[in-house]
Amino acid sequence: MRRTTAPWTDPDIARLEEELAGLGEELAQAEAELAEARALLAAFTQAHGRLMASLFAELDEIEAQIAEFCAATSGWPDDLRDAREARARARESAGAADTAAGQAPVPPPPVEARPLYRALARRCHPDLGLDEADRERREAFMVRVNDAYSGGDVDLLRRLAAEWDATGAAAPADASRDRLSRLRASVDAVRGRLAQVRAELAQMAQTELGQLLFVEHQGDMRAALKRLEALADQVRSTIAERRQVLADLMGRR
Amino acid sequence: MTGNLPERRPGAGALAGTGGIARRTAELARQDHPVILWQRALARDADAWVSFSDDAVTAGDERIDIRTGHATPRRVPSLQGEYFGCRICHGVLVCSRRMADGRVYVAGADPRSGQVLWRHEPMPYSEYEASSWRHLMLDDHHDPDVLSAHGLTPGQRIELIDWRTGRSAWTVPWPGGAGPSAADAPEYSYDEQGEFRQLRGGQDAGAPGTAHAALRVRVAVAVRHGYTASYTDGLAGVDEADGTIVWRIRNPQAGTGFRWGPPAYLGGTGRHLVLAGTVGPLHVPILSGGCSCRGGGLPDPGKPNTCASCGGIFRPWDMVAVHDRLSGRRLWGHRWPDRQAPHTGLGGIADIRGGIVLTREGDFLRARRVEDGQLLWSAVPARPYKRFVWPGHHPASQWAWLTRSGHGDGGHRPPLAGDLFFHAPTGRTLTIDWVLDQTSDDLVLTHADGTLTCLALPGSPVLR
Repeated sequence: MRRTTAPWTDPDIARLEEELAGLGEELAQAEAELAEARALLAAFTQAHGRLMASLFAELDEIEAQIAEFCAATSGWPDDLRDAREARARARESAGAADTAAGQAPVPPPPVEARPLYRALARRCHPDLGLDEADRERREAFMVRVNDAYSGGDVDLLRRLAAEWDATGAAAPADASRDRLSRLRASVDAVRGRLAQVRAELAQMAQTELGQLLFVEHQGDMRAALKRLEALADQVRSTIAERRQVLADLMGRR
Repeated sequence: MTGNLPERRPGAGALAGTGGIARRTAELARQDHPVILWQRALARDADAWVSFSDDAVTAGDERIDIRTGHATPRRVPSLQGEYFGCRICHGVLVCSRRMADGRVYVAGADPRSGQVLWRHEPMPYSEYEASSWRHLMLDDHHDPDVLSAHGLTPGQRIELIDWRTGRSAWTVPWPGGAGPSAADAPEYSYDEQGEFRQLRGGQDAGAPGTAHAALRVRVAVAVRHGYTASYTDGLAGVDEADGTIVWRIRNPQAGTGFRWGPPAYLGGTGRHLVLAGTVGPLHVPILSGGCSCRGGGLPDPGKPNTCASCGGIFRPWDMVAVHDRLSGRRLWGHRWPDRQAPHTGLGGIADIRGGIVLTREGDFLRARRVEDGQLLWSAVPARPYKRFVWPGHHPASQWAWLTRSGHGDGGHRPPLAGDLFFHAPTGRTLTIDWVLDQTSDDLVLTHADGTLTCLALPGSPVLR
């Protein structure tokens, strides 16, 4: 009677492989979130600049003229200082408006790019590499994936997925004796990267516009842009009021 | 980690989502979010009187918890007669009533049961004094820790009543009137031009090593609250333990015009007392021999300051001055030309919030640190506003309230919505498009169509 026996597997290696697979999935999800958050914030920052910078510049110019009028009328040191500061602020705002106007719009990545990116990150993330050479190979590939995602190029992401399936997925032979230690290193690296990703996500949510986009509107770009429009209307209303104040002051002269 | 997305973005700054414009936008986004803390319908007869009082809003016969809006019956001590005011002070409901025969009671009661704990009948009041006394009542005064209950008696004395027992703790003479003070108490004076001078030297109660500084007592201030510039007859620093006057600011008696005179007490914060007023009417009469306009002719605040009687020119100044509570010494002062300030008493020119002195100087609103007068920020409100509301009353709160509604409208014109709040430490603003009633500690109460709404401003202690 023939007896078949399953090949013996080191239970530590099995456990680490299982843990690494779970962490890899988690990391891929987190990297996708991070990439999307970065792209969203960049697009929102640009949209914000194009919308608000010119309005603030217009408002600051009117405020500077009002302050200069008051200073010229009173001659008081406080008023003169306020007028100087208001003029400096108006110059700074005008410069910021010029910069914002010169920027080409950056559209956020299309929705269908996200699952492609996430699938690729799950398979080719550098921190899943089993040795240094594998990690370097994955890093080079991941840069191409990131560029394709940030550029919103869905076709390129599909081609990269096919390319990885054809060539990149071939991991180096794992004949070495220290597979266990390499697995441990990979688990540590993935955990470390996860912590980094989460910290960066938190940091982005703490920025001024990040709060508006991620905290107030949970990353809903359309809702955040609508809110931005409402804020722009507030500034427009203030501009109209201040313009009237300036006109009244000039009329008194 | 090269697996990260590359940071390059066309035209992006060092960190997306930050920068000067982003900061302003975020500030704008934060401004328009006062929180509705609660709303509740009011009984019809409660519409007549709504008031903040410590941790509660009192509306008719209901006492409403400021945090939750939950109402419980308010029991008022059974005193017959005309009502003056009630306030919960250190857990005791203190009420005052004037009887038909002119006598005035002050009563302390348990705010939950209405059980009268003590009753105090000060000396009889004349009609004039009784009506003046309301200004000294607890509803109006913002130093309740010190002046729990007090009144102006005939003979121009202020009486402090212990809120726990209702017993008279001490009486002191009215600060500006005749009366004794400690032999070694220094005396100061402001004149009509706002010049401050020491009339008499003496032992400095605030100096280390002096008898007063060594005692556990803190120095209280007994004043008429300075709603208008007519209450300018002086201040006194009073040892709260025994009523000894340890310093005095004795100003010339008013009578030189309603609007202009020595600066009046605006309010206190910590060791500092803030005085404010419109001073220094440099009057150049056109008619030879002068005219009587200093006695009552008021220029239209929106127009050039010319005398209504003779066409002469007034050149008034607005001013604030900060004094040390312990010693009475003046720490700093600031004055500016009186331009366009409406005639609204102290509310037209100054307020204290969060340890910061706010001044309205022409089109500008300016903030100065109370300790040394250092300018913190300067801003131009987007709309014209008439005055500060409750100036000096809530020195610990952070938001100053500027109203669009005029003072002295006499109820003929409806109040306007769209009042502005300035955050004293930063200059941030917040506009509320409701008609507002009252404020206390960064809460705002509005009362319309039988509904009472309590709004919490950002940073209000209730939200923490």
